[in-house]
Amino acid sequence: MVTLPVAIIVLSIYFYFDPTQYPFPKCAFLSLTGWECPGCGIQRAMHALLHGNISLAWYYNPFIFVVMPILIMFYTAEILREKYPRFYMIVNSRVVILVCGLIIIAWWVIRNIV
Amino acid sequence: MKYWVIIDDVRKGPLSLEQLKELPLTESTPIWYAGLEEWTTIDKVPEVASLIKKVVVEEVPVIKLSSSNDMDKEKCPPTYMVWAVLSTLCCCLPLGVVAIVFSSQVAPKFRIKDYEGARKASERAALWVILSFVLGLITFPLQMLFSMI
Repeated sequence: MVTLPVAIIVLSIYFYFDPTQYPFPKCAFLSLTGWECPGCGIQRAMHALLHGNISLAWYYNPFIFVVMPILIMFYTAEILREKYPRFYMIVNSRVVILVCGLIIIAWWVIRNIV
Repeated sequence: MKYWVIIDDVRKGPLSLEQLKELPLTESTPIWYAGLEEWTTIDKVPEVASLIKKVVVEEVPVIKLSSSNDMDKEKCPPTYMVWAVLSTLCCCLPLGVVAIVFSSQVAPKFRIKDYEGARKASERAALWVILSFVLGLITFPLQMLFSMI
């Protein structure tokens, strides 16, 4: 219920402001450990993607193309819960959630060793 | 006057009107009394037919099977997975992973009807999402400070 307005506000911020030009939050994990977190670069990637620059978005953080469908899947299941309760329960099952979690962790590891 | 009736293939009689009252009579119950040539059915004998108990269909009140409390229990608590993923990616702290783990426990606990456990897992997922966002927000000004030094 609050997700959609928040998403619109956040997306318009990333549309109008380029994170490379303005002081956007920096990654605490990166500054503390020197390793990149799975989300590093996703703000710049978001800005690029909102301006239709897919290759630049891929350059900053290709994981945005994995995360977006995951988030859309969970959000769609949430808003269509009354209509498709089975879809909601499948999306929110342990297997699906853990697979999503493992994908994130795998990306976390891979980007730091490759 | 004495009557004979057949109930469940058993002939009963002689019976008075008083005794007939006690029996489970229907309109199609065979009956005979002195004076009739053949057996007939009760609906043809007005003084006996009037004895048949009228089946009163009482209006049975609808029983509410589930209270509003049970209805809440039957709905699987939220997993907060959207927020768990966002907190993992945007707050740059591994706390979001804990939120995802709790998130994954909601549905299986709900499935085995551990409603209390599912509710707790859901609350813990929310708690770790909030913790993750709060710590992310706290570290932002700290970083600004350190980057200036």
